[in-house]
Amino acid sequence: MYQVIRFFCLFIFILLMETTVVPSISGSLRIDFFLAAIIGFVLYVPFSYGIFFVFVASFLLQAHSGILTGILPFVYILVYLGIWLVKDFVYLENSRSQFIIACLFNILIIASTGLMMNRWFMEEGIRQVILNTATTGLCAPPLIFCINYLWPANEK
Amino acid sequence: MRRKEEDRIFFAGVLVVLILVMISIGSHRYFKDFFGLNRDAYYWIEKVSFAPFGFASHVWDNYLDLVNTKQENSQLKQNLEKARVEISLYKELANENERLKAMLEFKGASNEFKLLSAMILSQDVSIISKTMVIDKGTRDGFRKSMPVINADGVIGRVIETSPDTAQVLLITDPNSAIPALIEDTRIKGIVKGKGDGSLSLEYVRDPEGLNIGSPVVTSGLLGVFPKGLKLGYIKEIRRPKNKIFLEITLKPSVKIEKIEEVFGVESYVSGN
Repeated sequence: MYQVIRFFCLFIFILLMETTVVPSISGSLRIDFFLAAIIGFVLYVPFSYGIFFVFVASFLLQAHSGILTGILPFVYILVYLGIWLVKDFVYLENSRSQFIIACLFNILIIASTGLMMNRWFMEEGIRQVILNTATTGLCAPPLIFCINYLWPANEK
Repeated sequence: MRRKEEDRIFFAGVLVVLILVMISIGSHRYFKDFFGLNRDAYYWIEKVSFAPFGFASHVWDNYLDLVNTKQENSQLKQNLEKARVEISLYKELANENERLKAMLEFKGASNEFKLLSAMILSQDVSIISKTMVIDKGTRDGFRKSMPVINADGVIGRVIETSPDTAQVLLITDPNSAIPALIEDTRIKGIVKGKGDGSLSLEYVRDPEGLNIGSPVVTSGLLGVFPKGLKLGYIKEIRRPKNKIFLEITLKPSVKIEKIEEVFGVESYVSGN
């Protein structure tokens, strides 16, 4: 129960930041806090909890997007599995590698959702994509640190 | 260990299949109802979460930030007077129009509009799709396909509604298409979103009379958007080789990133 409440609070924080706080600071800026959370789950939360949270949260995120139903959960589940695989080959517990992984997967998310919606993601403008990717990368390490803090070692 | 690995793969596989099923039945009514419920819940969470900030902002705006208020007030009074005069002139023109219509025994019905105000609740989580959620829904009179505007022009149209919220498809989204005409020349076309924040005017063949900076307005065709609402201004005109139609890029009249308050246009037909 305690874990469910923690996940719910984290999800509300991510949703408020992504859809209301960041767009009110800059209308065109989108920081993917959820991607950072996924990296944190891969690192610090057991697989079955992590993937279930990603599925439920991405499905709830879908309500705040005009993208076809199911595409967001599909992409984020694949991202979760992708990072899970990468984890065995790349040391992900330092800020630099977290930044790089967040940037790479953010571009992958934009490109794959774009392709599934039959759009070339560079239509958004290269500057916009770079800005969003860089800010997502920069926000990833602090959020991953928070997830490590939220999920105590004895529960891992 | 191996058994655990297999369980994980099986679990992930089940979820992926579930999502693929979801994609294939994406537009099902139950999903829409669920997402509407979800947005309504978010409406309350957002209200509660930002209530302390709202209170602080209220205190600041109403009690502390009153410097230059007198000067601003007199300026606003002047603007109000000017607007009143302009409205009276327009009323006169409207009356004259009605009289002339009556003299010509014009049989067409005239549209009247009612504006429903709303605030932006949230923006789209993805940069691929251009939608936003507003804090008014069916309870306040918002309905599907309702045009959403502000003082600068068209913002988009409502695509989903729930009792307390509505989802708006912005004109800059590539799925948005609005019948339009160039105000000066009355040349008709379709305004579509390009995805990068600009618009394109499509199906225009003749470049004659087209000027950079000319305003483009809604044509009123199809009946979704009332006639004459501003969409944007011509920014660039190109004639591609081996193509029949011109490539016209428009700058939206509304600064989408800066909007806070919007209006839903409820039209009803009156007159003869």
